[in-house]
Amino acid sequence: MALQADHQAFGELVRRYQTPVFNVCYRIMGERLEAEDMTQETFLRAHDRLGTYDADRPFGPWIRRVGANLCLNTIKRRQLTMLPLDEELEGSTTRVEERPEVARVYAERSEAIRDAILELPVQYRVVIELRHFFDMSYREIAEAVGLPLSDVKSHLFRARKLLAERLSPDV
Amino acid sequence: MSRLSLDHLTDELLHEFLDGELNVEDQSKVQLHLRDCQECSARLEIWTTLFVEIEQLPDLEDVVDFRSLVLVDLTETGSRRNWVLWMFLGQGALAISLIAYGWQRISTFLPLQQVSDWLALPIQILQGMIDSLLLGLVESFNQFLSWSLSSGNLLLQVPQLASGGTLLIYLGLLAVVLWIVINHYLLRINGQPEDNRPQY
Repeated sequence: MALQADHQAFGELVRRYQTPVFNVCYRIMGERLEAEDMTQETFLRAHDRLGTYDADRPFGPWIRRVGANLCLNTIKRRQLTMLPLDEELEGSTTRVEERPEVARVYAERSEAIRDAILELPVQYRVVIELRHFFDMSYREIAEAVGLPLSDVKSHLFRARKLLAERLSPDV
Repeated sequence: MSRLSLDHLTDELLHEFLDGELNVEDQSKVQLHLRDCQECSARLEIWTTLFVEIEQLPDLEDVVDFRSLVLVDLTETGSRRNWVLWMFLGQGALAISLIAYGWQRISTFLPLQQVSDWLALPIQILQGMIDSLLLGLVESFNQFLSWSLSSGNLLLQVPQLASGGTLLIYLGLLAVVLWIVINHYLLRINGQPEDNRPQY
């Protein structure tokens, strides 16, 4: 009974935080089905590690961080970091350029931004996610992803340049 | 800082400024420059807008219902985990028993008096319990062997277990085999352990 109650309570947490966690995974993994797998795994891991969660802090950032870490580890295992950035860029350009620039509706603009982020090479997506959605400093990002500080700076700069070019070609 | 001595601020510098990564002195210099330079202020405005747009990106709402998926997984892994726990405890108890019993042999060379009192007493109690248990087991095992290998007029010469120590060896070997088989199975169903530190 206690176990069932525990599961029900956790199920409520899942229902409440599934959207933000999925979005973190989606932005990092860049693929919907993979993001769904990562989201499910995130909650299972979180359930195992509830003992490490500090109840005085909000649950949302913690579970989002668990999801981000899981995605980063998955990416590392796949050794996507070994892919040269230039090769990835060649295969992932121009779709946004074809998108009508007249779109002014907020939803369309959001969609354009999301698409632009998803089209970034994975290394760039990761630093954008950690900087803009987790508010991490350059040094914290460098520690989290295991890259030199200079690489983090250049990844962030190039990622933003690409985003700006795709979203506002006049930049 | 050489980047600040240029006519205009670079985009990289503007990014670091917006990210709050500049030291106080450089931050002041950038602010001073921006006050007088319309071109750099305009570029700062563009970047600021992009940063805000990224950070205010709304979440996609049409997500799968993960609640039921997670609950099903938790139930399955929960029952599996219980089984694993019991197997682990069983193996542990068996290992402790074997070690404690083996202590009798070791104590020939290392008298129990040399062991702390708090440790010697429980070992002696455990040894007594295991001795009694083994005696019972040996008798039962021998009877079982005699019965199962006898058929018709042919009565096989059954090797008798001379002592609890012999049975202990059999049990130890059985425990080792079980340990290998079970752990192999557990590794297969649980996958390889992984490093969960946040890394890239």
